[in-house]
Amino acid sequence: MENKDREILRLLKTDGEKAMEIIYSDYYNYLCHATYKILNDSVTTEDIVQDVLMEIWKKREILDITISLKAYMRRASINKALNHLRGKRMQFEDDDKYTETFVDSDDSHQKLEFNEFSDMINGSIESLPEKCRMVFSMSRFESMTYQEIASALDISIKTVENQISKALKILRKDLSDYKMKGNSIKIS
Amino acid sequence: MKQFDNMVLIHKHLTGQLSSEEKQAYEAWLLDNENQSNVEEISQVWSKTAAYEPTSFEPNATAAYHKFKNSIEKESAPSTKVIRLHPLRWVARIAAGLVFVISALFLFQSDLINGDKYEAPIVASSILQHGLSDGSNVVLAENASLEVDNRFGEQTRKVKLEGKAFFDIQRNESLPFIIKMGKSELEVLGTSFNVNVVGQISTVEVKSGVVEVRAKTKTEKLTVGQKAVVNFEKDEIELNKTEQSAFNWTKSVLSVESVSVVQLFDELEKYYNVNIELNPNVDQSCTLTSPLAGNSSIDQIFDVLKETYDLIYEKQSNDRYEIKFLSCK
Repeated sequence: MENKDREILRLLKTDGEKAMEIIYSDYYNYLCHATYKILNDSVTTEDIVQDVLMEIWKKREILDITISLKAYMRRASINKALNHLRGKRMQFEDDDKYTETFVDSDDSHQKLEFNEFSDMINGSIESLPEKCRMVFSMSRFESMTYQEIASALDISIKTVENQISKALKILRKDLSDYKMKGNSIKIS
Repeated sequence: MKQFDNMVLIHKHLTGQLSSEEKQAYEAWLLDNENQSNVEEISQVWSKTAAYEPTSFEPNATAAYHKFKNSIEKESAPSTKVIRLHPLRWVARIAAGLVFVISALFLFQSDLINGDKYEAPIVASSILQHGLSDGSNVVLAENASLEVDNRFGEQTRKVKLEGKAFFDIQRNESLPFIIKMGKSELEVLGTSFNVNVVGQISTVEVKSGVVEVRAKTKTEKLTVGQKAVVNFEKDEIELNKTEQSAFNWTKSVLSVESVSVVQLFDELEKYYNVNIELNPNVDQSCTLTSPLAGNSSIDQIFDVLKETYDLIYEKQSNDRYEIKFLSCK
């Protein structure tokens, strides 16, 4: 565990408010970004992160964290986000039917015009269809397996495969369009 | 041979999820040079997307911190107001013979852990039904003790329990109902369940709705028919099934004694889910004792009442009765 985490955990027990001030200033944005990548909903994201931090506050006297505090809070936020999604019981079946035509016809995906490569990648991910982006993000940013994504969203592995495949096809197409315009992709 | 989605195969290759069958298919597919360029493109997409940062969302950490600070300040604001245990119908219904409230010498008891303050504990000398100011009901088993946060219903819905109780919680999305069970906690929005707190071990059995139980770091959500044994010290939550009969113990609370006419018939209405109308000829000053038992029908109850008191009633339908005359002189 980092020294900073140790200090925050010590402060939580001795000067809780100071500890929370540090947590908010140093970790709030990080937690929101991680959660937003899954939810794509700023209001729910901030509510969830607030809930997580409020729980830290309430349990500050008895909190016993052995992993990094940052990792603990990120895991708690993502878990809450996944619970939220599971509660929404989204229907993926209709999406599955149109996976192929959707990408091939390319009439539903927003056309992107970007000068910077990083903007192109960001825009391309953000304009993925909601469920497709969500499944892709779970794999890309939370390293969740097909099985884990299927369980988290209460959908079949086949549906996860369809969504991953769709996401990659769309992203590849955007990348290819970007390159065709003679743009460089050396930006890391 | 099984057909694979090439895009999924590439993704599984990149994320180390290929099964041996998929690996074979992937390697065979890769022999084609054109496919190799596909892999390169997708690998590039995968690699570049790692740097994604949301562009359309800028969280405001300062505002969030102020919001947090406001909410903890509200929670810790000293309150001199004593919220009286609400004189609801439920309270009024409590049979005097069953009630024994220990009015402790102190009005408040501090919870050293989080600064919460509670009203004097209500200790049941035998089964006791108790109404809370938010419309929730609690049935306390013999020797159970309930403490109600002195800000209950306004900023919080928090109670502390020792012993066994059945809760029927009035739903309130914005103010979760929290039961402190030793050091562990339980949180609900609106539901009914049994709780039994013995030291640091609490047992929760859900009759309806969803109940969230928390140990040190672990949290579990229980649904109808589930039972959890929470061991705070060991940070363990053990899940099991519960029986419907687990809630039968609360029924004996309806063995009311020495209650008013209105209280008695209110109780009967609720228990048997019937409508009982009182005619003006009913002497409402009577104090009655009803021989209520869990298995008796409403008609059997009326029969006993008729023999005990000067009672005339009419059964208008299966769920509708009129008390035409009642006198206890």
